[in-house]
Amino acid sequence: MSDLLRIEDLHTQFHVHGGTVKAVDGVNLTIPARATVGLVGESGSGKSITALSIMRLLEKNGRITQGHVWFHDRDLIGLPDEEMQDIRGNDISMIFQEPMTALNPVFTVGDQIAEAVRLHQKVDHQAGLNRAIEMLRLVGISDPKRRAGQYPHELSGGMRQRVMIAMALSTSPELLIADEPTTALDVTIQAQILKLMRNLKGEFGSAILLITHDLGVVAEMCDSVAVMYAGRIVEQATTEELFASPKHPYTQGLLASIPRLGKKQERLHVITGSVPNPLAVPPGCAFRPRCPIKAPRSDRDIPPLTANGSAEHLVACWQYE
Amino acid sequence: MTFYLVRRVAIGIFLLLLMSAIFFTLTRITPGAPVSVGENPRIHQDQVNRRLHSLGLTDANGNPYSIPESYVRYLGALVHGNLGDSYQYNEPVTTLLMQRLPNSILLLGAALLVALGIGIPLGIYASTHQYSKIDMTTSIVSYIGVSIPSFVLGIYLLLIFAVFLKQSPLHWGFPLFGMHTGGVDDPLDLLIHMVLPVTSLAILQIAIFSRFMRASMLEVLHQDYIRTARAKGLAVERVNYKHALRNAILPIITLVGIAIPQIVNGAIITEGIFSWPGTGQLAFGAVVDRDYPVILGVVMLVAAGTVLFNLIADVLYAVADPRIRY
Repeated sequence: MSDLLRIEDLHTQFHVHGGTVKAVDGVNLTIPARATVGLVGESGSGKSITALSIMRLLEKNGRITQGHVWFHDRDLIGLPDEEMQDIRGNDISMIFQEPMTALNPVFTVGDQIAEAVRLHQKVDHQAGLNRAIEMLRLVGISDPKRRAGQYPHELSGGMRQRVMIAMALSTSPELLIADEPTTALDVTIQAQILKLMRNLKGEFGSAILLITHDLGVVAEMCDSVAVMYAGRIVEQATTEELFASPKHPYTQGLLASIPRLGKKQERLHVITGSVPNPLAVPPGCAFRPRCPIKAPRSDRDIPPLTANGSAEHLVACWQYE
Repeated sequence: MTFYLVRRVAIGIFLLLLMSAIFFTLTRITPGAPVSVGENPRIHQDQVNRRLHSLGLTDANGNPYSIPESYVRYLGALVHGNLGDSYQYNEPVTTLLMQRLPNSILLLGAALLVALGIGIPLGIYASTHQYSKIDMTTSIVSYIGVSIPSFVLGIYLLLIFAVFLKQSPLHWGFPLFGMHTGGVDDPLDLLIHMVLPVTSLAILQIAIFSRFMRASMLEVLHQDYIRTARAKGLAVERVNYKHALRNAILPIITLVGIAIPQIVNGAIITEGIFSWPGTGQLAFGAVVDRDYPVILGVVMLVAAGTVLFNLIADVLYAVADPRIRY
């Protein structure tokens, strides 16, 4: 498989009151064409910022200070705004966590989908609207013609997320970035949306970067996974491999905290401590304060992401040195 | 919607009735009378009594009618569209109002358009260029603008143009008083006459509109759907002027509904200062002369206008915002 997107040594910083936050601190990640790659981590680990950096949609106080994002053979980081606009919503689309607020309340959903189509495919109003209705049908919305003329407040949360998916896929992008697409939804709706994304992926052939904190979602959807902690990727492997033999203590902790049916446990496993203050990340390995192993060297040097066992399985931990 | 409109109109009529009762009472209990020996020592008390009787304020024996009694008579006439006759002009109040209302609408409409035309773009620019020099300047100047009442500003404008700049080359020759000599046949002359009064009325509203518009835009620009619009690949301008503005402009509709009565209030003094022959000037003179029917006429006109414009603003809001249905 050829690489669709290659993130190289990406650094994104935010200037906030009290200093500079290194939200993304040297991330390397490759997304092969047509693959589904999971990016997991807890809140504040930098996974959403990684996604927004790819799209170059950071808030004003955020800045990409270093690194490259290769999309085919173009580096998105240095691209002029106009060329980036051609890529956004066309080659790379994004859907967000909050379907309730992600749609503009004063335009009909049909118009909002058609807008992307008209913009990128240079078609007239009617053709754009027809495409919008077709997309609404594809994402499983009944009576799509009527729904296209409705406003977001007339639709439920699950339906709005379907609309977002319809909008994102309306231009047949090569890459779909989904930032916690099911987190805000009911469990039954979550399953429907995930199933929909899987089906549409087959139909459209888009690669997916799926950002989530839910390992269950990863197991169901992804070909490979990258685990993020404090702005860095600490482990990366195929989904099967990661679930079968997690190597980083953080990944091991995450997997151990999933409750299992049929297995009697007094209490759930917890990773003690909390995510480091982003303004004062400890030197060396950022996970060390919470780490049960506390390998030597981890108090001084940041562990590099290196192959362990197989070329596909990468871990950043000094215990395997 | 129909039910909503009927209900709103009914509430409006009730409000107007209530206000007519309050203002009728207030004008009557204000000390002083339309005619009195105290004010004009050269007339005889008999003449005063005759005049008060002829104005319908006293009965044949010279005893004043009670307030409720005269209010009921006033209402009776009002139902027939009769606002009474002016004591000062000896003409029906409706005639006086109709003569002057077009002049006021011209002045107030111009002030509102100028305020919207400058205030809204200024607010939008300030929000999309937050913390820029123009944003900072707009903030400071509009703060000052909000703080100066329009009548004070009017007097300062007069002072500047009539006194300080009179001998200087900067004196642009604005006619300071009156409306126009050529009437609507000479629009340029009319326009020049409008410059100073419109300025003094518009400054406050420019300040309010720009501050409000800036705040409203900034709030909208941080919404998730703005990020969605950018993620679609729309250019920044299109995101700002289509997706953000369409949402941010909504509260401005309500603000304009409130601004109209504010401008009317400002105009009462401003028209006086610049001798603009509108209803404001009429009201000002009527208060000085205790011309009860005229005072009441203007008050009721302004009250009806306020009720009407608030209703229009609410209806427009429902048209502009798909989330609101009555």
